[in-house]
Amino acid sequence: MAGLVFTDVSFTVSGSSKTKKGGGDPDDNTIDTGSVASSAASYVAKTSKKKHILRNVSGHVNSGGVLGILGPSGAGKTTLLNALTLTAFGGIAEGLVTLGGEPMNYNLFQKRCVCVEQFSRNWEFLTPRETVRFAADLYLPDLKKIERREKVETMLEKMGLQICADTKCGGTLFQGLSGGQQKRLSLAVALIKRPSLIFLDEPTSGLDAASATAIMEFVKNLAEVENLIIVVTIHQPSQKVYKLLSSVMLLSGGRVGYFGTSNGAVDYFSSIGRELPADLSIAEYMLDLANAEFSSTEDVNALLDAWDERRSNLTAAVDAVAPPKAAKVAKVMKYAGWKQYKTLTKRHLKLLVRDPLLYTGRALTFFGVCTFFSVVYVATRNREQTQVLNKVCVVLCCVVLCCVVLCCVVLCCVVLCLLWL
Amino acid sequence: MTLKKCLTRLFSKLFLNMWVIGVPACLGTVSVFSYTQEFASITSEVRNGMVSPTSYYLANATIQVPAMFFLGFCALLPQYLFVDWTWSNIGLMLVVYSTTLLAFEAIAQLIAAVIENALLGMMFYMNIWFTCFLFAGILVPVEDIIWPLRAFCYSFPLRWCFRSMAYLEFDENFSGAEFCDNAGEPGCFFHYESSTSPMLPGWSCVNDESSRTDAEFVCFGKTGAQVIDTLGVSYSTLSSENTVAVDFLINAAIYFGAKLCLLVALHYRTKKHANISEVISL
Repeated sequence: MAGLVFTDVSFTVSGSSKTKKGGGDPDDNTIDTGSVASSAASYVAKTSKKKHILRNVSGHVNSGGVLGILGPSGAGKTTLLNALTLTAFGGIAEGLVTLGGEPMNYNLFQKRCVCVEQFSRNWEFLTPRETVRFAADLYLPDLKKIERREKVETMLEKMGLQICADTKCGGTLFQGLSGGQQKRLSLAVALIKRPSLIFLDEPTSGLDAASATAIMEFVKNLAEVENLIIVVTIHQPSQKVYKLLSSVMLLSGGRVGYFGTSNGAVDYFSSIGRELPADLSIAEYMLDLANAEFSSTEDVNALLDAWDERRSNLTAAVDAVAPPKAAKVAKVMKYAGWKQYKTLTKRHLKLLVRDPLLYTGRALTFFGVCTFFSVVYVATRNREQTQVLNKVCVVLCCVVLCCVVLCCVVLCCVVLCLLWL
Repeated sequence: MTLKKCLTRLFSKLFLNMWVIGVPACLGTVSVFSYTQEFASITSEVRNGMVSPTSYYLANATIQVPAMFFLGFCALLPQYLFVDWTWSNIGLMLVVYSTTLLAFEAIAQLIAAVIENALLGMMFYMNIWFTCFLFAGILVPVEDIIWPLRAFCYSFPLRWCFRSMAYLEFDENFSGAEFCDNAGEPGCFFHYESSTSPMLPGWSCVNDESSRTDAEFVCFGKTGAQVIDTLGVSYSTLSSENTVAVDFLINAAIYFGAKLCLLVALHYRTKKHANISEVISL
């Protein structure tokens, strides 16, 4: 299958806790692995425990498809995305993930995948045009410059970023692009790479309904036109956004509650006795069913158990499709160290000039502070016995205070960030 | 009269008081923040296959070195304009000063690469900064610090920078003192080459101020070397011996050491991944 297939993905974290002898843990996701240390003189045993954040999650998505991972808070959406993008740290990830039949590993990820994080990491002092240009220079060093420029302009147009192409992105220090524009810019950077698979972490969060729909429409078209595989996590999709997903996976407590086409969800839930109420959208209904905090635990467990029963049939169906060997590999970025070095130097020189935090602001501050101290100690101009200690002081101030000032500007920025957030 | 009779450790106490008040006011002034942000972006770019950590590292270093020299120039220029520092030494002063800034910058980068939380990183840097300051040989004499703590005196950049800067600045004669050759003459001071042989010529303060008592007035010396050696009685870090090259090399070594660690940390951080183990059934 020339797509992304993940089978029995689990993520387990281990920890130890002290429990009274004979005590149990009511948490369904927690299992005892045996007493590892106990003292005869003590009534307290140290127990090693494993907590399953994800348990046997399986799914697949083909080229041209958009898989939406839905679920309430704490359902394991981000953990699943982390496991698929090989960034699930702090525990043990198990399972099988393949892309075009190849097992997912770091090199394959670097070559064929892109992860667009929830919070945009665009360079604050670069414009979208510059950002995409640098991305093109770095991802496509073998293309001619004129071709790269054409691609950049096409991409900006495709992403609807022409209108703000020369506005600085902004972020913590100043307001630049809107949230939707930032996300589209991140997508533009990702697409310049020409990946096979794009992971989008919460692309609609923080956006109004219209922007969220626009982004997802764009993502859907992108997947279809570019024949990409797109995996998105969505916390609370509107009905419009839901309809744009080609397949959905409902997670709750690290387990799957439904996986299949977005259109098939209503029929599936009807088949297990959960008819969709007339006044609810399917997206809302699914999230209500899976939310253990507001539904009864028994109901949620029944929902998850029902899917487990269906799951074996689905797995068999997926296995029946033999993955073609060496499925068409997307064009891969060639490593060009010298070109990268030149491009990065150019980019960071530009940032050096524009970003006051890094150097220019500090240079001005250094000059100002040192001028202040030199004026304070202006009497040390005279090389007299009485000025010797003052001269020592001014040298000391120069050394120490500049090291402090190196950081002073930064503190202000942190405060600004906190205020801004 | 020997020097030890007219100088006391009064200055150490004064400096200690000054910095006990001053340093807490500087808490939180850490330059780790921008690097923390930058490394987060770079990590994302490396993971997505856009850049390699080595290319970024080299590009950053290429820009950083001249930029820190520029910062150093901005900091030193007012001293030469307003306080009339020794112009003939401005080149060496800039090299020594900027190398120290580079060392601190590299330490800040290293912290930002290792500690992903900006606030924690800033606190950690603050501790490093204060440790540098404490062990710079000014607040506490190096010989008074017990091992292994004394190792800090040798491994942080501030002490070496301060020593060279003082040497380069105290390079000319001071008024208010005259040379004297008679070791037995009252008011004629001199340093000793060894415990018995004085370094001639000595100096005496012959102007009106010399009539003041020792408690009010200290006669430091005629030449820069004499003055700095007199100061060195209280602050053993200071000396008339030319250690500029050594100090520069030590700080450069600290810079390169921190940069090397940074390279390792960057590679580790940006390429860290959790491979999923191919176990289908649990």
